Amino acid sequence: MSNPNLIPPIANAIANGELPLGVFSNPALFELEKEHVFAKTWNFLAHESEIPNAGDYVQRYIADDSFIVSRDKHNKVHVVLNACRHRGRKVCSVEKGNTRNFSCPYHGWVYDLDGALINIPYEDEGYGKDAINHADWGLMPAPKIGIWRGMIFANLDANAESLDDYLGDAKWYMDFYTNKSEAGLEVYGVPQRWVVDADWKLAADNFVGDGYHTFITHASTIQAGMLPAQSGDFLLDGVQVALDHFGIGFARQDPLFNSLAYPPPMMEAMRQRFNPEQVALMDQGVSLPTHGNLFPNLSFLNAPGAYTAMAPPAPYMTFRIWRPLAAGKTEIWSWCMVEQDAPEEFKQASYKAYLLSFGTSGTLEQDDAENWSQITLPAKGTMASKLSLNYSMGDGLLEPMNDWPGPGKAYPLDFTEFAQRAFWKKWITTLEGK
Amino acid sequence: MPVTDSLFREIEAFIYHEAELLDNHQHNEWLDLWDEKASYRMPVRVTHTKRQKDQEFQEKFGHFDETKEMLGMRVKRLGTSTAWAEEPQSRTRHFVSNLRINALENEQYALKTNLMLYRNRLDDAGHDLLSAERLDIIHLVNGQWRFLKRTIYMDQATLGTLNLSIFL
Repeated sequence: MSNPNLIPPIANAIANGELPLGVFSNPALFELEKEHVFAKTWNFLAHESEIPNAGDYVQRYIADDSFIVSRDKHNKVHVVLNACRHRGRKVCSVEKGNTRNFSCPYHGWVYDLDGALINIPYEDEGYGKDAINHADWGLMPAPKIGIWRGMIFANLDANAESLDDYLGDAKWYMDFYTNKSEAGLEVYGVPQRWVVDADWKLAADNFVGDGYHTFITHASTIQAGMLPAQSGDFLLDGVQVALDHFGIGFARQDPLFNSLAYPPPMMEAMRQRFNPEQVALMDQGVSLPTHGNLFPNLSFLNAPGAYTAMAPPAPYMTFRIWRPLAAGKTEIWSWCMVEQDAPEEFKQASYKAYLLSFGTSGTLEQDDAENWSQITLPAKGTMASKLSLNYSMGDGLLEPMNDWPGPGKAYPLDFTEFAQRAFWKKWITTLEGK
Repeated sequence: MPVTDSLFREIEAFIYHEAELLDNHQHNEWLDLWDEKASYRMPVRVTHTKRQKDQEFQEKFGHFDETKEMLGMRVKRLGTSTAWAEEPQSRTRHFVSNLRINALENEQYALKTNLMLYRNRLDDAGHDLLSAERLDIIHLVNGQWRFLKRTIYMDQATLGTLNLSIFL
């Protein structure tokens, strides 16, 4: 560790329900995050529906590392480092496509869809016949890959636990996002990408457990009618669940939020699909889960949105990755997800509701990112970086619910910070290598 | 079909007027320039190889894919006192050039313009610069030019601005 004095004061603050503002703009911490967080945890890269056919591929990132996520002719998904084994040039310079193989433009080394080295030009003349064992010089596979409900993840740590074990109890809740219908989710369109001067942790911190901000941050979206909540504090008496690596929030008071605007036939189909404990949760008078975050930087949002007076509000679902580019600089990847087997009109309505609320032009997204950039910019300051932030909401006030059917600790308000405190605890222990 | 010089000048003035309304944050007046049936789209652009360049623009998935009603909701929001992404407002300058006009049937006109959009915020000395080609279809309603359709083709795949709280 470069500076042994960097971590302990932050760890102490977190243990006391506080956080120094400087964590949002600290280049030394950022280097540690790349090594200890992003190279040691499971990172979401793509959804299988983005590469439905043999030869399809997308280029995706884990922090600075570029990967090719491809589907070979046997329908198998591969994740390989996008760097030629000869001089390291990217063999894939585009975001998406379909190909038979990847050919390096520098010296022409050719790799199969699974990364296997197929051809070295002038191999016999330059290296000698059979001197190079092709099996040793394929594109480097990600040390671990895992797929859960069509979601493709990779882990740079060969000794990491399996994806299934990593997700653990989070799967019980992620089911609500991903398992609403027989066919499951598909990506509608492609991910939108853009860059903001804000730290990735602020976004994760918001999605993991910030039910509190909506009444002020998002007042204009509610006032203009895109967010059809009865009031801005629609998450106030909701439920917040904290797992050590996952947090999720539910609404309760607002009837529209109970179904998130999913039409009755889809709600009925969900009841058939979910297990009895999950159905028991739906009968608790809470909404389907809305905001969530899987450590480190995969966030979820499922919510109702209005886009026309001619039709009822529609539910939308987004996955997002907060890709860290530098301390205080993040590339946002925002996917619009929809049930593959839903009618086209439903998909259209869901897409329109998503567009007004999230993604590059979404108004909820705009106001969130404005907050995060206005935190990240001052966090550099000599005095400001040491400023202690209050993370105590709900501590000593709330006890976990004892009638909650799901795993983790559930608290009977979403205006609380248990999931955020769990996020920061997970972050600091991961940085400490524990 | 080409248009007469005087019609060209008239439409050019309309396009400049629109840019002025946007740069002056006169969003309600800007909204009035749109036909009730208008569409306002910005397809997401994805970097593809030259061979698969025809798939570059997502025709069914946009940064914007708006009806006039949706534009109206965005404008209504900008009129509140809590649209934080535009509080304070972005300073924008829409540089519109390379106007080409083609007369269509039904007294509609297809316009092509290049847009260079300068955007500055707060006390930041820097700026975002967004470049795009716009394809518009306009027609006259009760003697007033109105947009029926705009499609914005950005010269970026990963957008280099923190959000689209502005119109292009």
